[in-house]
Amino acid sequence: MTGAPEQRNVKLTSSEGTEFKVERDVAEKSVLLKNMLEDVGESDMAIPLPNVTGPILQKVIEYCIHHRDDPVPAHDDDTKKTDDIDDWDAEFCKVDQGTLYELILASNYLDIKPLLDLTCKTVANMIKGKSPEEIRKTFNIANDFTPEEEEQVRRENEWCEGR
Amino acid sequence: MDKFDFFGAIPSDLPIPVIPGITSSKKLPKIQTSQPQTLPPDLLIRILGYLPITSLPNFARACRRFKVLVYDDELWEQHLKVLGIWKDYGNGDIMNAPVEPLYVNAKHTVRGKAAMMLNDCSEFDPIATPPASPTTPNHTGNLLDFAIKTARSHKTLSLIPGLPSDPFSQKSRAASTGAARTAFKKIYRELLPYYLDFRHRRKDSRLFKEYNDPADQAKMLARLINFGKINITLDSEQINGALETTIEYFENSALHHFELAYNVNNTTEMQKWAAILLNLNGGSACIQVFIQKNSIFFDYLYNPLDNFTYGSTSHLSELSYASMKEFFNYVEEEIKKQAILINQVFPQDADVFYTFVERVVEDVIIEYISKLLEKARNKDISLYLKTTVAAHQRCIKVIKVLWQEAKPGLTKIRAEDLMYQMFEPFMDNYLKEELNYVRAQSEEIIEKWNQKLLDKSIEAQQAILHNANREIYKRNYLTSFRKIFKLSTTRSRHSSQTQSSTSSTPRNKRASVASNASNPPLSPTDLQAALWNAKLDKMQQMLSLETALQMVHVNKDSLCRVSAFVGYPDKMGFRIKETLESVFVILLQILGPLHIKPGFDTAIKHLGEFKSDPESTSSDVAPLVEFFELVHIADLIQQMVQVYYDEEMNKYVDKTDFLNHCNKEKKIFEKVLDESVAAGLNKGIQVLMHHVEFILATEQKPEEFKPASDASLDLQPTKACINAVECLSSHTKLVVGCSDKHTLDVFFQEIGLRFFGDLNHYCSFIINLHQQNITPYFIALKELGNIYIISNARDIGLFVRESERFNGVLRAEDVYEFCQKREDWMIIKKEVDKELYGLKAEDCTIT
Repeated sequence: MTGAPEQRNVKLTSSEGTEFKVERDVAEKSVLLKNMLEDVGESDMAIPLPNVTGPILQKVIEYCIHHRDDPVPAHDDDTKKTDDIDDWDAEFCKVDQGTLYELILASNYLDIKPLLDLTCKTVANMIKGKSPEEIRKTFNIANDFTPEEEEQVRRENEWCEGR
Repeated sequence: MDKFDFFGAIPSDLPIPVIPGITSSKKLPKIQTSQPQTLPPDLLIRILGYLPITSLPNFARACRRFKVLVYDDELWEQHLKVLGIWKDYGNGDIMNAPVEPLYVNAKHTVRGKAAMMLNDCSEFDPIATPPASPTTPNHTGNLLDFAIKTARSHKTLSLIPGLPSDPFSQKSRAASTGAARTAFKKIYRELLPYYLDFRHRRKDSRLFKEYNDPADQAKMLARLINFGKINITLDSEQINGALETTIEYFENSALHHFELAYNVNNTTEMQKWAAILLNLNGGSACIQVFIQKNSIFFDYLYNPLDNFTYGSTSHLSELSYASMKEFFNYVEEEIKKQAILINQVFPQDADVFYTFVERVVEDVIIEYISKLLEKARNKDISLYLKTTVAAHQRCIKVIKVLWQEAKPGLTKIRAEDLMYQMFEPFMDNYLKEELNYVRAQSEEIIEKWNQKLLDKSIEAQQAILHNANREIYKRNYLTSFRKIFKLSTTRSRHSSQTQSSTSSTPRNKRASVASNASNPPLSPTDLQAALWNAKLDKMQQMLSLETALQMVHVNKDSLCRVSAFVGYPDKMGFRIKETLESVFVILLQILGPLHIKPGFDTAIKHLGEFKSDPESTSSDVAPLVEFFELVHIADLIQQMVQVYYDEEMNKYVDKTDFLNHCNKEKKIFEKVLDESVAAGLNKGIQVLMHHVEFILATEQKPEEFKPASDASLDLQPTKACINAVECLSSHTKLVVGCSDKHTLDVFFQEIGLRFFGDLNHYCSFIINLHQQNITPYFIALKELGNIYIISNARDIGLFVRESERFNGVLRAEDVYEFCQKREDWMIIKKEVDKELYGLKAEDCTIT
C-alpha cells in the first residue's frame, strides 16, 4: 500500500524488555516514533519504550495496524463530539478501565492523536450525565468536601447545570 | 481482544484509580503496580473537553481535585477558541492581554438585552453580578478581583492537612486566573436560553420574538451555531440540527429578499440583505446569487465563430478579430459596472469583486477563447498561433482594466495572477504547436530550396565579383538586413496583425515586389533587400541567402509571438523562456545541418572531382571558385544569424552564459560552419596544389633550372613559375575577407609550407602574404639559393658559416649538405672545408 517495497521493520522494546517488530508505516502512526525514525534513519537497533508495558504496546500496535491507511488528521480538527466512534473503535475500547487509562498514557506518550482522542472520548462518555456520587464510584475516589463546601461548589456552577 | 485475557479477569467496571492512597484497599494486577495510579491533570482536562458543559458541575462536586480541573483556564480557553473569541497570549497570561478581544462577539448584541440577561440571574458568585458594559474599565477590575480571590481560595485548598502537594494543586496555582471561565460564563448565560429554546421551537423561538431586526437575528443565529459547536448538553446534536434548519430557512428568506432587491436594482435593500447574510454565515449563497443573476453568464451575445466569417477564407491571415474586440469591450464594460455595484452592495473584505471576476474569466472569457482557438486550429495552424497571441493580448488588457480602470479594482498582483492562471491551460498546446510550426516551416523552406536546386540545371559559371566590390556588397547587404530587421521588430511590437506582412517575405524577387506594392510602408527597405537578393542569386549555387533570410523571418515571427507571453510567473514563465530559446535553436539546427552542411558537402565533392585539364588554358580552378563563393555566402548567413541573435535573443539570453542552451547551440552552429569551411579549404589546398603542380609539370622545362653555360644568368622567374603564382594569387585573393582571420592564416600557412620550392619569386609572393612565421623560411630559402650561384669556393665556405643569414632556420650542417649537391663539389670541397673549419694544410703538419 505504501508503495515502498523495501519497507523496513522497526523494532520496539516494551518496559519489561519484550521486543515487538512492526512495519515502519505502522510505527509512524506515532508522531514520537516518526520523528525519531526520521532523525535516526535506518537502524537495526530496537527503540526502547520504558513507559509502555508489553500488553499495552501490543494493544497500541493493534490499533495502529487497523488504522494504518487512515489519512493524517488535519490540524485543529477538534470536534468535541463523543458519539462519532465507529464500531471497531468502540469494540477496541471495551477493556477494563485500568487498561483504558494506560492506553491514554501510552497514546499521549507516543503522540498518537487519534488514539488519544478515542480513549479520552471513551472516558468522557463514562462520565457524562452521571451524578457526583456515580463519578466518585467510577473513579474510586472519596468525597473530600464538607457538605457546606460541596454546596458552595454546586452553587458556583449552577449556571452551567443541565436544564 | 481475546489476546488480552490477561486483563479479562478484571471486571470492566473496575474504577479508574485516581488517587493512590484510596485505591490501596483493592490489590491491582501485577502489571499495573509499577504504573503511576493517577491520570495527569492535563489529560483529565483533555477528557473534560469532551464533556458537555452541563456535565461539568457534577464532576466538580466529586472531589477537590476535580473541582480544580473544572475551574482551570485551559478548559475554558478551549471553548472560547471554538467561539472564535480567544487568542493565545502566551502563558495564558490573560491579565496582560487586552480585554476587548474577549468580547468581540458580545458587542454585537444589543446592550440592553445583555444587561437584562445578566440582571435576572441570581447567582452565588459575587464577582459577575455588576452588569457592567463589557468594555468598561470597571469590568477589568472585576476580573482582577476574581483572579485574586480564586488564587487565595486555591491556596487554602492546598493547605488542608493530609493533602500533599500534587500535580493538581500545582497546576491550579500555576496558571489559572479564572478569567477564561468568567468570560465563557458571560457568553454562556447570554446565549444558553436562546440555544435551549431551539429544542422545541424554530421560527417562533424566543430569539425571533426578542429580536425584531433581521440584522440582529442573523448575528444571533450566527453566534448560536458557533455556540452549538461546543458540546453544551447531552442533547446538543438535536438542538444543533434544529438550529441549522432554522438558519437555512432564515437564509432562504433573506436570499429571496436580496433577489427581489436585485431585480428592481435597489442597492440599499441589496446592501442591507447582503450584510445580513454575510453576518449569518459568510454570505457565500448571497454572493452566488448575486453573481449568477448577472446576464453576462447566460446571455451569449457574442459568438467566437463570428471572427471567421469576415471576408473570404483565403484571407485568413488578415483576420481583424473585430468580433473579439467587441466581445472584450463588452466584458470590460460589464466588469467596470459591476465593480461599482459590488462596492455599493458588499463590504470590501467580502472580496466579492474577485469572486465575480473569477467567474467571468472562467465562464465567459475562457469559454470564448477556447471556442475561438479550437475553430482557428481546425482551419489553419498559423492562424491558430496568431489568434492565441491576439487573444492573450486582449486578456492582458483585461488585467489592466481589473486593477486600473475598475474602481475599486483588484491589486495588480491578484489581477495578473488571475489572468495568468486562466490562460495557462491554453499555453501547453500553444507552445507545442508553435515549435512544431517553426520547425515545419523551416524544413519546408529548405525543402523548397532543395527542390529548386534539383530543377535548376546548374547554370554556367558566373562572373566573379571583384574583391573590393564584394566587401562593399556584403556590408550593404548586412546593413539593409539589419534595417529591415529593426523595422519589422518595432512594427510587430505595435500589433500582431502586421506580422503577417513581414512574414510574407519574398519568395522571389517578383513576389516580393508584388507584395510590397500592396504594403507601402515597407517598400523602400524591402525593395532594396530584394534588389540585393537578385544580385545575390548569382552567387547562390550551393547555399541560398534567400532561404536563410526566409527562415530567419519565420523564426522571428514565431519569436515575436512567443515573446508576447513573457511575463508569466513561475513554472510557465520558465517554460516560455525555454520555448523562446528552442525557437532560436530550431533555426540553428535546421540552418546548420540541413542547409549549410549539405551545401558544403556538395561543394567539397565537386572539388574532389576536379581534374586538372591540360586543355584548359585558364589558370582558374572552377570548383575552387565556386567553393570560395560558398564561403562568402556562409559567412553572410552567419553574420545574419549573429545580427538576429544580437537584436532579438539578447533580450532573453545572457550572452556570457556559456551553459545556456541557446548559446551552446549557437556555438555548435558556428562550429559546423567553421568545420565545413575548414574541410573545404583543406580540400581546396589539395586541389590548388595539385593544379599548381600540374602547371609546373606541364610548363616547367628542365633546362630552366640548368641554363646552358653560355646563356647569361637570368634571375627572372620561369614561365611555369609565373603561371603557378598567378593561379595561386588569384585564388587566394578570392578567399580574403570571406572567412575569419584565423582560418585564413591556417590556409596561407598551409600553402606556404608546401612551397619550399621555387625561390625568389615565390618568396616575394610569400612575403606578400605577410605571414610572420613562414617568411623567415622563405628568406632563408632565398639565401640558400645563393649557394648555387657563388663561384668562389672560399666565399662558399664563409657563406656556410654565416648561419645568422638563415635566422636559425637552417644550421650550418644543413647548409653544408646543400653545398654538397653542387656540381663542382669535389673540386671546391677542400677550399670550402678549409674556410669552414679554419683548417689549413699547415695545421696538419706535426712539428
